[in-house]
Amino acid sequence: MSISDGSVPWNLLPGNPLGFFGLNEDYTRKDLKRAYNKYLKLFKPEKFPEEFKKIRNAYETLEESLAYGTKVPIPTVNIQAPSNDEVKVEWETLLQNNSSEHLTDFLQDGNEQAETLIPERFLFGAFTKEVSEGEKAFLDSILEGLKHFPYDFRLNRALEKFCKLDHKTLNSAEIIEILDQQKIENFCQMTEGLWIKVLEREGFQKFFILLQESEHIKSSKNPLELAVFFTRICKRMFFKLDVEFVKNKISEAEEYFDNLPEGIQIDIEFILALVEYNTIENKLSESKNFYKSQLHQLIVDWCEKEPPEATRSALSFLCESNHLEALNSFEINNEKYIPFWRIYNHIIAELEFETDLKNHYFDWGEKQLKVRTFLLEVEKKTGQSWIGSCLNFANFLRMCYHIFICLIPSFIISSFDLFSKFEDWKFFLYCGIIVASAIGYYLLLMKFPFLFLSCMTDFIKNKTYLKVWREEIVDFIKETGIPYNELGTICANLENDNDISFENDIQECMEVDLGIKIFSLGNQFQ
Amino acid sequence: MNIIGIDLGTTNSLCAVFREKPELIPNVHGSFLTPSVVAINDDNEFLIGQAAKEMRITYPDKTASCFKRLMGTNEKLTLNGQKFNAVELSSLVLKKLKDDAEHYLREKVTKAVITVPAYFNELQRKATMAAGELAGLDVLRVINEPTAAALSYGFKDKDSEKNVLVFDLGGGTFDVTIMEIFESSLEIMASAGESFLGGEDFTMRLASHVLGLNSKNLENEELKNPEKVSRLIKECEKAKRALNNSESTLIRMPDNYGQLTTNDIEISRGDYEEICKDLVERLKKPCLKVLSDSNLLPDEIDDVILVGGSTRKYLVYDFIKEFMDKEPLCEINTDEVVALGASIQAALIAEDNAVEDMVMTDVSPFTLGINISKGFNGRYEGGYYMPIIHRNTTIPVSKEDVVYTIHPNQTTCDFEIYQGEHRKVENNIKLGDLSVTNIPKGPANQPINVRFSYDINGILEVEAFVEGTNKRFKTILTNHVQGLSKEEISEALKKLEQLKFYPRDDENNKYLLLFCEQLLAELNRFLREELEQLVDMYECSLNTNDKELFTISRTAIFDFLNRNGIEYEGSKE
Repeated sequence: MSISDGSVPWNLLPGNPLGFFGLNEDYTRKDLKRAYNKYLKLFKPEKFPEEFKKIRNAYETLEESLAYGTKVPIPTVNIQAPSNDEVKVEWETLLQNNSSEHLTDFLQDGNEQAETLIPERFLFGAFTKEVSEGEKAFLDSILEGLKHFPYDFRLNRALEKFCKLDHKTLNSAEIIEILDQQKIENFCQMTEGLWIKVLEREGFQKFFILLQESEHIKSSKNPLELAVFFTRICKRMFFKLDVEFVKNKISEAEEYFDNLPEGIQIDIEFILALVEYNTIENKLSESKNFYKSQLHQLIVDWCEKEPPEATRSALSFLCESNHLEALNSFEINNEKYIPFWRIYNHIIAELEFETDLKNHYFDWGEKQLKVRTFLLEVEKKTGQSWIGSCLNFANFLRMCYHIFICLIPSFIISSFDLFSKFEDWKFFLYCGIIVASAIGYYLLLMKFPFLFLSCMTDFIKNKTYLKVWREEIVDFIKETGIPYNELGTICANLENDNDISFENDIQECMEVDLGIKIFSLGNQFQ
Repeated sequence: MNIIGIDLGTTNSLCAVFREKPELIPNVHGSFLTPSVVAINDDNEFLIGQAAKEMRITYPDKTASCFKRLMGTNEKLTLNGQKFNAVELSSLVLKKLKDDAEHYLREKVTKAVITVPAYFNELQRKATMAAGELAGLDVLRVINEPTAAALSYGFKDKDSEKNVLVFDLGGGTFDVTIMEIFESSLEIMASAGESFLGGEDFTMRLASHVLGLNSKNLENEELKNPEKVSRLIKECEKAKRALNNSESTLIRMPDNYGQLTTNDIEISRGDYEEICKDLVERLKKPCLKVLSDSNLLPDEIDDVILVGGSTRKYLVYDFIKEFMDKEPLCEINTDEVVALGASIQAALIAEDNAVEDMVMTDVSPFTLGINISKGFNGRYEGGYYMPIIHRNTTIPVSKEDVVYTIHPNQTTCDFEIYQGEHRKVENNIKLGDLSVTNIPKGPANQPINVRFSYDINGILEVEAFVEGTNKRFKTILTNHVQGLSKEEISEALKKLEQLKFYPRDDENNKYLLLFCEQLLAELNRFLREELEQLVDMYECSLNTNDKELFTISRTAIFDFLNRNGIEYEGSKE
């Protein structure tokens, strides 16, 4: 028996196991077993593991409901997939017997029967095959019927499905007409998905005009919501469609944005939408420079009020879209210092993380460099530059160390000639340099345990050092709250190299507010 | 080409083939049971089966037995100075069975179905497959022993509609399985068991009791006087059987050199019951477990089938009779039923006409899951076990579950995959790892879907993906035998190739010799002298290849055995 055997109604799974097994509601265990067996013989688990799994799943659902005496969550009417004709008849009877008011009442009664009459169900038959010319009338009748349903997510979904059908009668004008007859709360939120579908089919221009003329849009008291709404719709388009098309759409959209009503009070949602828009736009046309100035101020104001985590996406968007000057103008005082570092880390992490994804739009090497430069500038302003300099220091220390190592052989060589060339000035020079660099090295390390640590991870792999410095490290973390991902990396390196666990120390730090986030990036410790 | 079914047991192994109906394959001695014992003689030749079993008594240091219990571990047994692990030893037994089958079927045998106790874990199963590979067998399927037993029962009675409990107490393992037979489809509903409970435990218990009466400790004695202990164990085994038919029996105490003395110890049924009380108690738990797992009450079970040699014990028989309130069935020979079932499974794989309308579904005998962290008051603690496929789920099966990240901006998540029942992963067996990366950044509680697919061959596929990203992370756990990588298998193969085997044709002769040698210790002086003479003559004929003398001495020995009513298991031809 082949898998494609027509007698096996796979399409009823997983929603309708009873239908699949051809059982009625008051089935017994034996009936079930027999029906299951019938399929089992066709689809032996050895040969058809996937089919078997499906059958087994359905069987277990029904068996459980028998064992626990619960009803199977299936439609109360045992539906087979309705053919178009059935649906048509059912629909027409419904329309004939009930006036539209009746229909609404009928649906709102919490009537069990109504559950089976959701618009989707009527469309179900229509979707099962391509709609032919002759059936257009039928679809029209369905559309007509849809108008009588109270607008909810189900109708929305039904309309979305309708849009997927190549049914010409349902254009944006139609939809707007349907929607205008309804009272819809949260119009923008509800219908966003629908419009995007429409947009894929119809031109941007026509669509916008129609949409603006919609009753809901016209009567909307919240232009901001509309702005976000439109931006989102546009944004979706850009990500979905090819560049040529997007360019055209952008020029269309820009006109709309340029004519945004005066006095719209913008909040961060809107900014983000705009930044996103601008991000794409920057790459594609590189000419437009609109809304920049007010945006800049807005973000700065907003970030002052909000917790740093919330600002991060805004800031990283700004980084992405070359608004470094906006970042630069942050008034950063000492209290804001630590949150700021968190943001920094978020940005960097974001940049690094999404490199692959966004390579398409940005040159990230350059971007990171810019962010770094900017951050160094910020450090200068705040007067706390230790972390910025830490990299330099670390490099410097490394250099010292290398010099020290390099000089050892020459020292040995010289010592061979110690007696013959005792007066050789080079020998004293060598000794001098060695002693000086050793002392310098030691002093530096004493002064900056953190630097010592960061150098050490690279080239000193000695447990004893670590054990000595361990407390220092922990204290250091508590006092300063160094960027936690940096710390995470360092600790992870140390752990790998030396079989030492920092877990307890880090947990201790967690109690200190600063340390909390150490854990979140330190996945290594799990 | 025939696929053979092999029951690789702790004490005995059997081999069967399906030719219109399942039939057992006799070994060179004409018996179906081949003891799972490997021995090495002074010429460094390997003896497997009956001959080796006889050697176990006289030369315990040169034989290995019960190695099935070491499957999946790296423990090694020393045989005459050479070290072997359980996989290698098992492969020798399998090779032996394969040879027997080839001899019997007169064709090359390369494919086999091997049975394992249901409670064998993944590692032990893989070790069994590896043993098959070493023996030159393509192991098509590893099935559970109780499943096989159920299968051979179900094959006989396939048109009935009933629930059957299969109670399998073998030499070293104990399994209980509940099966539903319905219109020739067999559904294994649940199985449970214990991997270290079997007939051997009863024997050992008896032996240590006897030694205890002489204020000796079994472990110490085994080190000091291995000959004595092995002889004693044999005596206890006999006593154990004798107790099935009589109220009390005598155990002859061997001396330190393994010679039987007149110092007899009487054991009554009452003593025996007292000694083995807790062993019988341990039988109860798995029985309750299967009943609850399959959601059945004892009176909903229509038939109880006994499998395994140890179910012949009156103790066990009485226990199960009382527990199930039913007279158990043992229509098929309890020793043979598993091998027969294996051959039926082989026929199912080969799609034999005779089993065309039969379907069998098996269950996953253990729970599979991952490690998770649980949050208490904002603090997370790891090391908890989250089952995804519960034990006794019908396989093949795919189950999906959702886990959540616990840290904001967590981008990676490492899953460890475990097998076991304990709520903490540390007490379960780790099977592998799966690492999920590139989780989109966001607040904590990002969902990650984890999907387990467990197929009919016990291959577990774990898949994880984050909703909204297209990337799927997948790992397939197939070869997780500890210390048995591909290289090691080929190495072991080489090692085994170099071994010398005792020539098959002579094996029968050798067996008789060994049998008589160990018999000598049991006989009284006069008989012993007579037999000694015959054995010397027989050995001489073997060494010199004197055919005339061989026939005479051999007939004389059989004559002697007959006269004294001694049963000889080997072939007399």
